Amino acid sequence: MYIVLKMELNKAPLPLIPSPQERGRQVSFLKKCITLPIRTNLSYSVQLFLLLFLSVLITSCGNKTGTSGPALSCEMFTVQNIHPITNWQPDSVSNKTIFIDYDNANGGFVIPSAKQVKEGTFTFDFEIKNNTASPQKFYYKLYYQNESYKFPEYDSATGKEHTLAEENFYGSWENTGTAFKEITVEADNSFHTIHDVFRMAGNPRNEERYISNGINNRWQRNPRVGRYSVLLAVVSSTDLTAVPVYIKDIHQKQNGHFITPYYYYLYGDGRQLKNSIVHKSADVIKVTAQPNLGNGIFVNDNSFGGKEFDKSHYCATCGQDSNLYRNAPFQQFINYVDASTKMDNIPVIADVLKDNYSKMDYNWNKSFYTKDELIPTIIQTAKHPCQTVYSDPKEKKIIIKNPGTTYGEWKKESVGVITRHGLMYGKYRVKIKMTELLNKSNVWNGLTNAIWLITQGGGDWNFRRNCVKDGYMATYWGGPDDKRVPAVDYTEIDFEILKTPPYCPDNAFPPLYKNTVADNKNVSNWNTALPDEITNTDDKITVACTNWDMACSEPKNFGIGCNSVPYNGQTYYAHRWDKNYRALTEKKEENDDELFAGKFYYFEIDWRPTEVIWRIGPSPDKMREVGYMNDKITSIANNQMLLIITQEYHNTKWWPGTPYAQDNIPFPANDIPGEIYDLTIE
Amino acid sequence: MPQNKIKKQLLIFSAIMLGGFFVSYVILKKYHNPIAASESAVVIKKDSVTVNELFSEKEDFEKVPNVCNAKASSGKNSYKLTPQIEYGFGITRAIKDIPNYTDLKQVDVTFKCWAQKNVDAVYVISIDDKKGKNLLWDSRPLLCDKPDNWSEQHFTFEVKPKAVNAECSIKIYPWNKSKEEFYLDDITIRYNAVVSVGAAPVVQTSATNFLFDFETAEGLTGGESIKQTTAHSGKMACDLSGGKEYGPLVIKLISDVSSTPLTKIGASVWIYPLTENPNAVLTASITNAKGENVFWDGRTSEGKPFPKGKWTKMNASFFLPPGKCTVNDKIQVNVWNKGRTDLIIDDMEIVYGESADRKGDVSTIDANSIYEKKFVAPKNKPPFKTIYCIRQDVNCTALMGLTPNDDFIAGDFIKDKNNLDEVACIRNGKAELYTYLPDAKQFRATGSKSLSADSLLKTCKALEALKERALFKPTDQLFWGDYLGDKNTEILELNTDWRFDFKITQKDKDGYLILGNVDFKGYTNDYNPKYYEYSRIVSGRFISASKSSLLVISCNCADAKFNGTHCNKFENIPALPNSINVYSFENGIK
Repeated sequence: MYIVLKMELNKAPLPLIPSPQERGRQVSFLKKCITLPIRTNLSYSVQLFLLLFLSVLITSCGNKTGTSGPALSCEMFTVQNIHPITNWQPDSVSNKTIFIDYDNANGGFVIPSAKQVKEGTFTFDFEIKNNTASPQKFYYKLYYQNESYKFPEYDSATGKEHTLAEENFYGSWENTGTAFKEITVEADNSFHTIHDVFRMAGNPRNEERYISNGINNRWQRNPRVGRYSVLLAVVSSTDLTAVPVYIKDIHQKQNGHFITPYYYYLYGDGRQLKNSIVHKSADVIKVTAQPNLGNGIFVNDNSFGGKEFDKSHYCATCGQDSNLYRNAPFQQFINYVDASTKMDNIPVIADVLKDNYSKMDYNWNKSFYTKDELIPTIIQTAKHPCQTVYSDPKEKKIIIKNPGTTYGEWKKESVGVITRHGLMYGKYRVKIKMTELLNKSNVWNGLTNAIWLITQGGGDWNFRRNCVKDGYMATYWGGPDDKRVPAVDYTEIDFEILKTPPYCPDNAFPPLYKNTVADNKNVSNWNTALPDEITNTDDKITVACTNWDMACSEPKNFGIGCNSVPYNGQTYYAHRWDKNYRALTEKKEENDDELFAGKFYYFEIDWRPTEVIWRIGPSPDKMREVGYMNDKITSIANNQMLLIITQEYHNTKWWPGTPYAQDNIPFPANDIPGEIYDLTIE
Repeated sequence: MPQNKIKKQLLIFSAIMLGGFFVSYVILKKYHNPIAASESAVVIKKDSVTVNELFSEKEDFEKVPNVCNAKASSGKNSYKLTPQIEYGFGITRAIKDIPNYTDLKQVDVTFKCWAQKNVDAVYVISIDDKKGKNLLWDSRPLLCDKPDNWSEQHFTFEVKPKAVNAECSIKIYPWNKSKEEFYLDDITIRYNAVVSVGAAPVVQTSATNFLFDFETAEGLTGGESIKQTTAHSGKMACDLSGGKEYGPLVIKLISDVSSTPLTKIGASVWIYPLTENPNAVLTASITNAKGENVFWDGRTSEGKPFPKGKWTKMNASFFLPPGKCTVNDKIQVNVWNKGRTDLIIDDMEIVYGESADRKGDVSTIDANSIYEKKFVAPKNKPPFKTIYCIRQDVNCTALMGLTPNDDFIAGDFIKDKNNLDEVACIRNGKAELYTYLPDAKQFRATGSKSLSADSLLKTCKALEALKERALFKPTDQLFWGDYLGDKNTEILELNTDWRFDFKITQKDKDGYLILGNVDFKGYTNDYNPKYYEYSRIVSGRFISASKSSLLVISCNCADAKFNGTHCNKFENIPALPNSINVYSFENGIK
């Protein structure tokens, strides 16, 4: 075991090879003039120890002031005081956090916006000194990259770039044709400050995939939330010629693939550049999305089947005016309703929650109505935009309500809102007061509270990664005989909360329900008790966490039936009905009162490139995991999605084993409200 | 007046009163007796039969060219048949154009007719196939029985199933056989489905749910392993330790649990493993009359979380392929300790088949009419509005001895200032009176009384309404009163043949209009009168002189074969205790 440190510059700090697992706030440096060969048979843990040891050594020798870091030298020049962002101040906990500006953002998010910073750009600067005896032309380029939601650039198994690293969100100057910028530095043994600007915007590689009819639809690949790093590369004219075109111009590809500059400089051939300095500021800024829920709800014509619909409920914060079109972060959501939602509903109108509708009420109504008394109906969606959704600018909240119904107008109407700006990945946390689902007798009101991500659609530009093994099911609504295709744009990640039993472990599934007989001469014949497996958790509802992977069987542990998923000290059971079933679901029973009887509760979908974690909790610092899936068992979405919040009626045939059938649950007598207080994506 | 004369007069009066009381009692008893009532009915609407309209069409001749405008029942025009017109205005409809035509069972024809004298004509229904072959022909005589006046006529033609074919067409027309002169107007044709509610196939008997708690071996075969041991419930369980492979067997003839071949069997059992990794299989199998095994399926505990020393439930659903079994086959359910590990089982439940479908035929409500807010409630057809009867704050403790077996009369038997009705409970030829005390909001027993002439008068008025019984089902109980406080009389119709079916109706020009289903509100817990097995309603102006209320006596019956009309042994179920309450409608609800 040995380590060789080859020091070519006497003033240079000691180098640090970044770990392939590099994350967090560690600032790392790569000095091209110094190499650190490590014997390949050195175990990784030993390498890690030595690197940590060296890190301590380095930082104890270098310049640690601010974010500028130490002076970095190569033979021809020295760089110091690199300030990746100079016009955005740290917050109270010394983090630089910027909230995405949703105003006028239909064309895509720009970070920072002109409203946030005067010129609408981040400024950066660094100092450079010419170490030679004559004036020199040097070249610099700045890259940024989302560090929170990325694949590692380096694949330790292959020693090459990670095959999925090209999906990472990185960029440079918006005009990707601006390769390196030239600076001439006098040989005056003095540092010269270079000022420049950049901003983060969608489609930073200006990919054709997101360009149609000559328009760069940057919104189709919005900047991701999370932490960003900045990588500054300063090269000599000689080295510039060695930098490949696809690194100079990130729009370019090599062999049909993008090569990430981070890989090139930190792990690839860029490490061999002799007179170049590459500096990565690992944790420059954190981008968070927190749309103002009081900024209105837009109404999309398409959701209501064209322009001929009732607009009488429009108001300043809900409708179609130009202000709402530009600035509203949400629009009214209309659920897809298919024919399978047809119900023959009991002709009863009741407030299940307030009237304390009992199990006996349920059982009687289930048994003693004749078919011709039933109300044939399908689950309804809003016909009058803005009638059942409100945006409250004062309290910055959105209110949704399932409308009550009356005799002759029987309906169960789903209601909800959807964000208007797509994002890929993020920790979506919603502070919300949704309707209670169970009443005091623990009878279900038939609603499903749902917080879910859905594809932004769009077809090709939003296709998820190819499923090379056997493809995806072509449509999300088709049956098991649907054809398989290599790519689809459909993705969905759900919280669906309703009264239904867990499928797993399956020793007690399906529940054994007694038969009922409509015999009014014997109460016990129609008023049968629910089985133990239901009554044992009578006051609980099920939090169903689902990832729609469209039955792509590529994941290593793709399975059907119940399969255990250990994670973080818990065991989850993921369930898939069959190999063609498009979704994988985990269920956890939770107390209805805790989640929905209080003032609010938090629900979080942590969507990462290789895993999805579902959490709930009373406050952001008390979240607990209720679901976990990773790319070993399911295909994780890698396209742009929108967030939907709904209180929706489901056909309970979708949820086998459910103790209360939707058809046998009364129509709602009163409005059923839900209030959304906050959405934070970080 | 001499005392003897007074006594004599009182005696005669009492005799008249008692006689009147006896007559009223007999009549009311008859009214409470459904058999007697049905015997007196002139036209009986068939019990458990409903008529659903599939489609209808009308012709008032207002937009038909070349019709007569000399007379009209409505509008300005009518259709005139003359000696030159033998076959009058006909309506032809392709059967395939009638929604849900496969359910077509009846064609109703209603029309107005005007003639100077009775005519020799008939109305004809004819169904021909596409080749013109006649499949059905029927006719009814026209009875224009109001000379020089419009009279309404109504026919119902039964349509045989063999004539109901998409390729066929129906013609309905008047045949002016003697070529006379008369007029027709306002023809309505209704194409109906007829559903016999009572004829709905009963797939199962009431005994399809079974729990074997192993406290006894009743119903089990091979219960040798049942003993006093660690039990999930009670003291006994089935111990399959020591290599025992089979638990007790439940064998049933399918016909004992279902009138049709089964499609599904559900079963569950609690398992208490004494070692890790038990392999117990809950099995179901079917053997035919020849002793051949025609079905076997099982669900194992292997690989599932059945921890040692903990009761864990195992459920199984077995779906039987259609055609695999008959009702004469035997079905066996048991636990097979396949792994022969030590384990105990208890509380085995078996559910044979599935709950029967709801009664009746499919709803004919047009869902679009609901979506478009154009729904018009069909007269006297479901769905009905629900009109609630609210429980009143009345202390009925004094009435607690009354049961639904008793007979009651309500009336203002005691002349006092409040003009409220009393409840008379008739038992063994005696009438015990109960009076409501408004100030105390309670009933009080006032002993046995002779009833006044007023009460008989009221009874007689009520009896008048019996004439209207023909409009209701023979087993209906009817109540009259001003329940809605609108100074009109409403009739409440209660039928408990298969459910507590309570409707409020009002008389209208065509007969009766059902205002809605009656339900109850304000009761404690689940004590809704409609949930009880046996209820008796007494109607009267008990708590208000201007509005009728209902005294509702609700009980459950422990009789093994309770018929709904008399209970030998009442049962006070904790979840549904026997109760007596007063209910009133809110004023003016329609």
